[in-house]
Order: sequence, then structure tokens, then C-alpha cells
Amino acid sequence: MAWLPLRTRLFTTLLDRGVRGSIIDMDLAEIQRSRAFTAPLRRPFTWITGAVPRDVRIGDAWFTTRDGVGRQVRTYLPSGRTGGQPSGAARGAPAAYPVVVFFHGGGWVLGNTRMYDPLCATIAARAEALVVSVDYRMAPEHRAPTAVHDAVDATRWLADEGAARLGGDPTRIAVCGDSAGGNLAALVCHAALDDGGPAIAHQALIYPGVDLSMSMLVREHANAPVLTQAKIEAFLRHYFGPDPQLSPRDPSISPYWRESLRGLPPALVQTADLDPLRDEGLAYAARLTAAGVPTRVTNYLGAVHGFASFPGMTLIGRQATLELVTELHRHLHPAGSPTATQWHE
Amino acid sequence: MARIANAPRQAVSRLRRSGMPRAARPHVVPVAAELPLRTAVFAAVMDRFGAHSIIGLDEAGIARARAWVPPQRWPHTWITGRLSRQVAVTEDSFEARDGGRVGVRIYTPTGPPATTADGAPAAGGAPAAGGEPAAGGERAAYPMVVFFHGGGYVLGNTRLYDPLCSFLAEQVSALVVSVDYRMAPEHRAPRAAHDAIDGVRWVHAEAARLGGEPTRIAVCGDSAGGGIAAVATQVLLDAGGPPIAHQALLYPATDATRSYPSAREHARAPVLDARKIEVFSRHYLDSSGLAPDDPLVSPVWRVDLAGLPPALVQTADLDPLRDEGLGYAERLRAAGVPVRATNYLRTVHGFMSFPGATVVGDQARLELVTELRRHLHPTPAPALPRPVQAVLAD
Repeated sequence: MAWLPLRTRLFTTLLDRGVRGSIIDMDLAEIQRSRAFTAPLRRPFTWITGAVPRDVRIGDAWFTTRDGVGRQVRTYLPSGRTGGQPSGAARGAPAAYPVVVFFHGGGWVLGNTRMYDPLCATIAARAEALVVSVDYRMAPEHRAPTAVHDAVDATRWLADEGAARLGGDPTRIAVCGDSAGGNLAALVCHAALDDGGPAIAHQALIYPGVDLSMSMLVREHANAPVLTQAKIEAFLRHYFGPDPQLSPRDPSISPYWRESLRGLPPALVQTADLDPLRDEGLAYAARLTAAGVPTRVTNYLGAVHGFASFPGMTLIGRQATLELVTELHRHLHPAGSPTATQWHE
Repeated sequence: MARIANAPRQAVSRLRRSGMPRAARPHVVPVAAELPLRTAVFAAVMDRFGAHSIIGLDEAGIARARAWVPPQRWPHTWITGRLSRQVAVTEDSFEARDGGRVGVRIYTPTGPPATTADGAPAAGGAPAAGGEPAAGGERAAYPMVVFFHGGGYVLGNTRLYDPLCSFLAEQVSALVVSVDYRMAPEHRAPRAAHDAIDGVRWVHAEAARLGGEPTRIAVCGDSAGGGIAAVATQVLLDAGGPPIAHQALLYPATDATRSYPSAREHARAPVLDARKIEVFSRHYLDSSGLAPDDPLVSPVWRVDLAGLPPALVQTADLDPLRDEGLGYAERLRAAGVPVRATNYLRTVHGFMSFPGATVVGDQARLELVTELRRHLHPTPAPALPRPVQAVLAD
């Protein structure tokens, strides 16, 4: 296998040895138990996941989906400082923060919003933004494209009324997500473009899954740590269900297969070098660039799928976080972008 | 030779208005604690025993330091990287504007087109465009990278950069021409910058003979060489050519006034500290007749940066020059220039010369290769989804 730092190798070995089981042989009860898991926010766990910055207030709110179901979002609001420029409203009114809509990973089957507290709170503090992490519905209870619809509905709700109510600026919205969440973030941008709004200022895609037909799966990393081809297939079986309504190359669930990417918002794409999803992330970035979308793409060496969830167990975790918050900040605070060093640690 | 004549005071106010420089952060980062063990050890050894401390060196000492090159064998190559076997190295020289001769070291790819920089297909691994047989059966010309080594305008030589330059030649699939510009204190400012400009012009004029493509030239340099590369790019823009396709600036020196906060914040950093910077600056600027904020020695002080070529700026986080690099990137971006800037954490000035002693060396080399390839090997945009290998070639 290609080069992997010792700490990453050790950590992922423990992870894969089944502290939490593998999606391949989980039944629904086990899936639901797995979803409830979050690492405690104390040492030694925060050495692995990163800590939650103290000056971020975590809360929640509800929105209603297109089919009338109430879903929760988890909100991360920086406190103490003001969020850049007042949002055009009356002068003297409290400044509103730009908004980052976040979608967690987990193959549309696993994961939860709390698990991403360290990452989301870090984005809130260092990109100086209101982060809204969406608890979208997952498979196998809810098949494709319910997760996509929930992601789109949450973003619309934020643009219409949610952001303003939570202290955010509905005119400055970015989307961000990792893995399956990166897939949803990309698709929210497609939907916003097709519907004529809301305007998305930036999309930050962290090792996203953009091609559900797996045509670009990296064969040499099909048995990589954390995410293997067998696990991807298991996730997709849950997501599509026994009687799929959609082709794996339907652009409404596979962003890579959209005909034209012209007009999409500026993008950051981060990939892990030892990840079966690496090449689809890179290929999507290449297509965005070719379509005239300002795109920054970085392939992190010595990194595996999921590295944003365990930055402390990698050598590039802090570097990747710096790149993420720098890009989000730059696109969400266009008038007053400070140098990258202002948020360095 | 056009030079922007601008009142320094006006430039200061414009710089301030564009957001730079900013107030210093109040605290000093404890540098050693921020560094990976290997980097801390290497930097400590270099600072204690290394040949390139400029402080207290007389002219004989400077001459000795300039002649030093680490042997091409392990353990040295574990730290510096090795000279690529797929590259032929030759030497040549050209006549500068004052009649003096300036040497160049040329790296020509000889192997099959590079496929990967690191094992990842898209990671700078698109099939090479240059060097492949053209339609007529002849070998197509390579794009060219004109390289300027670092060393504070005083030290360093081209051979020292054999590992990096040969790596670039092989991985970018380009002809790399490293200019042995003349240095201070024998040659004061702006002689180094003039040699760099003359070097680019010579490379452009001699492209056919060298096997290069005169319409695809990038400049690259580290530290003082990065500053020189930026200056040459500005001057050539004013002169109307030759056109530069890309500028890759590695922890560049862009501000001889040292007005950016990191100059104080990291005044005692390993490898390059404030005292060394002071000595280097004096050698280069004293009795040169140029003010420290003259764009010929401080490219960040040029007022109008519009129209400059796309740039990559790599900085080291624990480097007094960090903020002048990031500041230049920020000003370029504000002027509408496509910029990719990356501040590498947990590393120090000069790290591209000792990638093996850092944890970010490979990542930074990959980024440099990827960006140079992208700008020197442009290919038509894909209209529709295609099989992965074809798309990655874009």
C-alpha cells in the first residue's frame, strides 16, 4: 500500500477492526445504533477529532421539508465578534453572519450532526459564519433522492427565512459537506442554479462522492482503510433500495453526470490520496474548471477517506482545515478578506 | 526598461487601503513547539553548523559558502531529494545588458512523459503534452520554466537546486533553465533582477535552439529568487513581452521594507531570522541608489498589479517572509489575477530545499508541479463527461 503515516495507519486499523461494526453486515437496528454514536468532546477523543472552539454557541432549529416533515438542523454561531459587514439592512442593526450549510457524511446511511461538532464549530469560528448542519433523512428508511430533497429544502428555508431568524445573512450562503454530504452540497448548487436561486457563494466539497455508478473508483485503493469498494456498494444498496427509481448516473443524484457545469458557484474540492473516491472528486473538479468555474482542488497525500473527522490522526489535518476555512472565508467575506494567517490556529 | 515611478507615500496609502500591511499579532509563536521533530532537528543543525549563515561572513567566506553543494548521496538525498535520472543537465551562458556573462543550468527531460508525481493520476499526472512526438514525427518543443534560486541575493548557486529543478523538468515535462544571476555584495541591486529579466529574454530568443516553446514560459523562484521572479514578471509586462504564462513564487521576498507582521512575529525563526535578513538586505541594497520600497526590489510595492500572469504563492507558516508572500498573493487577487496561495503549516523558510526534513515537502512539490503543468500544458476543455483518464488529462 502507498505511504500512510504511522498514526493514520494505527488509527484506521483500530477503526476498521470494528469498534463500531461495518456497514456491510449491519441490520437496521445496528444501523440505528451506529447513527446514535458520537465521540465524547473531551480528551483523548478531541486529540483525534479536534476540539470545539469555546466561543461558538451551538443550538438547534426546525424546518419543514417539501413533503411536510419537520427536520432538525444544528446551528453553530460564533459569539463575541461581529460577523463582518452589516447585511445591507438598517445601519446600526446587529451585523449578520454569512451562512455555511453543512451536510455530514456517512454514505446517506450513517452519521449524525453531533459527530461533526468539532469541524462545524471550527468553520463557524474561523470562517466567521453561522454554520447550519442539516439532519437530512437517511437510507434505508428513506431512499434516494429523499436526502437530496431535504438538503435542497433546508437551503431554501435558510434563504427564505431561516438564516435571518438565526442571525445569518441570507444573501451570503455557502454549502459544504464531506463524502455523501459533499454529494448533497454539490447537488444543492445544481438545484439552486436550475431554480434561479438561492444564490450560493461557494461550495466546499470534501472527498465528495459524485459518481454513484462508481465508474471512476480507484481500483488500487478498493481496499483502502476506512472506505472500501464493498462498503460503498453496501451504502449504495441501502440508498437505492431493492427497486431503484433512479439510474446511478441520474444527474439528480450523481453530480458528475450533469450535462453542463457552467454557472455553478466557485468550488473547493479536497480529496484524499488513498481513497477509492479520489478520482471522481478530481474529475469533478476538472470538469468544473473546464466549465469556467473558479475551482481550487487539493489532493492530500498520505490521507485516507474521512480525514476531516480525525484530523489529529493525520499529518495534513490542520493544513486541510486551514484551506477549508480560508476558502470559505474568502468567498463569504468578499469585501474584507484578511490574510490566511488571521485564523491560523 | 520601464519602471513604475510612484511616490512611496502614495503607494503606502494605497497598500493600506487594499488591506495590507496589517497590525502585528500581539504574541510571538513559540516556533520550536510548532515544528515536527524532524524539521526542528534539521533546522537546529543547520543554524548551528550550516554553511549558510550570512552573519559575519567576509567576501572570502561568502565565496566559500556559495561554492558549497551537498553530495548527491544519502543521507543528504533523503533531505534534499535526488537528481532525477530522467533529466539531462547542461550548462550555457548569455550576455547581460552590461556585457557581463551570466551562466545558466539547463534541465532537459529525457525519459518517457511523466505519469505521476506521487502515484495519483490527476496529481500532476496527466499525460505529458510537451516532448511527445508531434504530428510530423518530430519531437514537439517543451514549455520552459525559468528558475531563480534563493540565498538572499548573496548566497546559493544553481547546482544546489539540482534536485528541485530536475524534479520539475521531469514532472512538469518542461525545459527548466536555472539562471546563475550575479549576486551581492559585488553586484548591488537591481543587478540580480536585471540578470533575471535578461535571462528570460535570452530563453525566449534561444527557445528553438534549446528545444523549448517560446510562447509557453513560466518563471519560478524561491525566497530572493521568488522576489526576482516577481520583479521580472512585472518588468516584462511593462516592456510588452516576452509573455509569461505563470509565476510560481516559493516563500518569495517581496517587501524589502519588511512592513508585514510576520517580519516581527517570526523575527527569531529557524533558518531565516531578522538578523540574517538585515545583512542580506544591506548587501543587496547598500549604495544601490534604490529605496527599499522600489518595486525593482520590492514587487509588492508596485501600485498596479493588473494584467500580471496567474500565480502560485507558497509560504511557510513560521517564516518572517510569510505575510509578504501572502500579501502579494492577496494584492494580485484584488487586481484580478488568478492566484493560488497556500500557507504551509509547521514548516520554515527554505523548506523546498529540504523536503525530506519536513512533513509538507511532498505536498508542496505536488502543488507546484500541478500548477505549472496546468498553465504550461493547456488542453481543450471537455464538453461532456468522459471516461476518467481522458477527463483527468484536462
